[in-house]
Amino acid sequence: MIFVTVGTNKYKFKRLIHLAMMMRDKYSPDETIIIQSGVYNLKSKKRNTIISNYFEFSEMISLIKKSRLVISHCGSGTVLLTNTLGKVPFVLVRNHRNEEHTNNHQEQLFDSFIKDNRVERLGIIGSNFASAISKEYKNIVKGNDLLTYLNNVY
Amino acid sequence: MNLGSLSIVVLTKDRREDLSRLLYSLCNQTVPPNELIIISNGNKIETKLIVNKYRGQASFDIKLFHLKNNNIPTLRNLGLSKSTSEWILYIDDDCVPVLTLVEEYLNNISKNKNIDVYLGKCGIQDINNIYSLTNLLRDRLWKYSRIILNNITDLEILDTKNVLYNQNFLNKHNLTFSDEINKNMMGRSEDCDMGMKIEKSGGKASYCKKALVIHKDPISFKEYFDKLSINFISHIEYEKKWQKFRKNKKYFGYSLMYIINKFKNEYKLNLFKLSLILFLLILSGFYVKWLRFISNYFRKKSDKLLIVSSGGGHISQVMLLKPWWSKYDRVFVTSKQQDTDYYLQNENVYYANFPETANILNAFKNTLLAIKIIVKVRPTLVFSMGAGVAPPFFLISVISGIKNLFIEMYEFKSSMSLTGKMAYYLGVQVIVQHKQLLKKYPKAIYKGSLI
Repeated sequence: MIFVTVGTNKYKFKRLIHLAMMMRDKYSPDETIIIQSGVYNLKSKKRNTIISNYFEFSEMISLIKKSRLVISHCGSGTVLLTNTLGKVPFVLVRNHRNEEHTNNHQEQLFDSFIKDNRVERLGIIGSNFASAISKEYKNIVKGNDLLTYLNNVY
Repeated sequence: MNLGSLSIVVLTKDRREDLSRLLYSLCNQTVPPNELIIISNGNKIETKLIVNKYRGQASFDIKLFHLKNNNIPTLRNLGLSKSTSEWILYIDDDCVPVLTLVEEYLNNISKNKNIDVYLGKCGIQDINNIYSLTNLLRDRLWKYSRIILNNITDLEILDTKNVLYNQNFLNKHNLTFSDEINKNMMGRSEDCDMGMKIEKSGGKASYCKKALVIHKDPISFKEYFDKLSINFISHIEYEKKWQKFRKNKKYFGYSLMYIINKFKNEYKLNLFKLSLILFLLILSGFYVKWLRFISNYFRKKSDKLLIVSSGGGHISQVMLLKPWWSKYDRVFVTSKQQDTDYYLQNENVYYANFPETANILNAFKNTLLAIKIIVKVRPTLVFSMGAGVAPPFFLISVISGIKNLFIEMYEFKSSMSLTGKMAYYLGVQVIVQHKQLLKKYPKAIYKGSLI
């Protein structure tokens, strides 16, 4: 099972959805793909394609846990959620030029996330699509300095 | 544990005459209890002398424990742990029970099997004293408005003056009197708290009107109002604790007129005396209102956070800071969507107008909302991690001089977000999560990153 999510952003992210569907059709046509498409209204007649604008949060959690591949945009909410559920998502960055976000901050986020092994580039899957699996996420604890600062000052 | 056996627990502190009177009537019960446990936190020798005097007359065990502790719930818990019977009866040391008290209780126990707590009736010693009568009527109004045909519909009224708990039930649900409730010496209400705990565990209570104890009530104006103040103070923490649970609770019982009429007949009051009592009752109602006003006015202002956040990445990074903000009272302002609903299930939440980014109308609406919420909540700190919903709240906080804090999201490495810039130039304290931002924004603070 493949799970694709674009988060709750109010910009459309057609590129990711179509790319994921295309790759599925080409490399592993029998597999189910579940897409959370956000504000982008899309319909598909294929039997093993499920598209919904939003899912219940508890449903999201179970989908992320169950699926073989988690493909998402590079938003901190989605990535953090996937990480806390123990998985490393394959991400594509929202681009300002294509009107996919207000600015290009996801690129900056992607740079720091990939250093910490929180995300993987969607591009590296390529022709291994049928066999690739989302890696297990190993927890890194950061943010203690900031927390102690907040505890002391505020 | 013997089935159907009954222990009596009495707490006492240096009330010699009251204690002797109580012991005398307990020793002469028609059916003796299994054991009597006396827990004293006063003078060791005096209490021992009195108890020893009655040891010879009693046909049951009298156990005496001394504990140098002024915390009443702790003493009550000691009694709970020392008792070896199935039922445990609490009586105050300034009460005198009728001689058939234990018999009545045991009768009731053998009749109905599914009751976990019995509440007994209270009378007064000086039946001609107006203050005693008023105090009793207050008690009756409180209790009888929650009792109907011996069924108790609200277990708040289980008052340890005269109450019988089933120890099996308490042990099964692991219930003890909470001793963390009271910080000041006089404030207790651990019995009401216990009642609510029993209700939450699904316990059933019944009223036993023949099990009567005569209580020593206040006999002067000063004593009466002192007692009112003590009751009020002891009730504050209890109310705070159970506020949420009791909000949707329904209870029913006898009507006001019925209770007053019955009270009038029971004590054979003439109209003059009754109206005097009612006048005192109304006066004490005003007095309690006044106390409430004063205590609200002088209450130490506690820290209260107003956390403003959009959904998605913003709320999930706010959740990373939970170890910090969970220590304070807090109110959230957010959008209504799946993830915020999930993260903020048990929080106090206001919903702002969305979508908020680059939407003038909603920005205006949110400013009005910000004024409304800040006036209502009166936070000591406004905190946000973005996005567009934050600036209106920061604007109002800056104008009204409330402390504020903005933490820039982890995403922004080489330049701040639009919200960040607005906050920065409004004069809000900004914390950034990347060091290189400090060059552009020197007034910001960097203390490591969150992710």
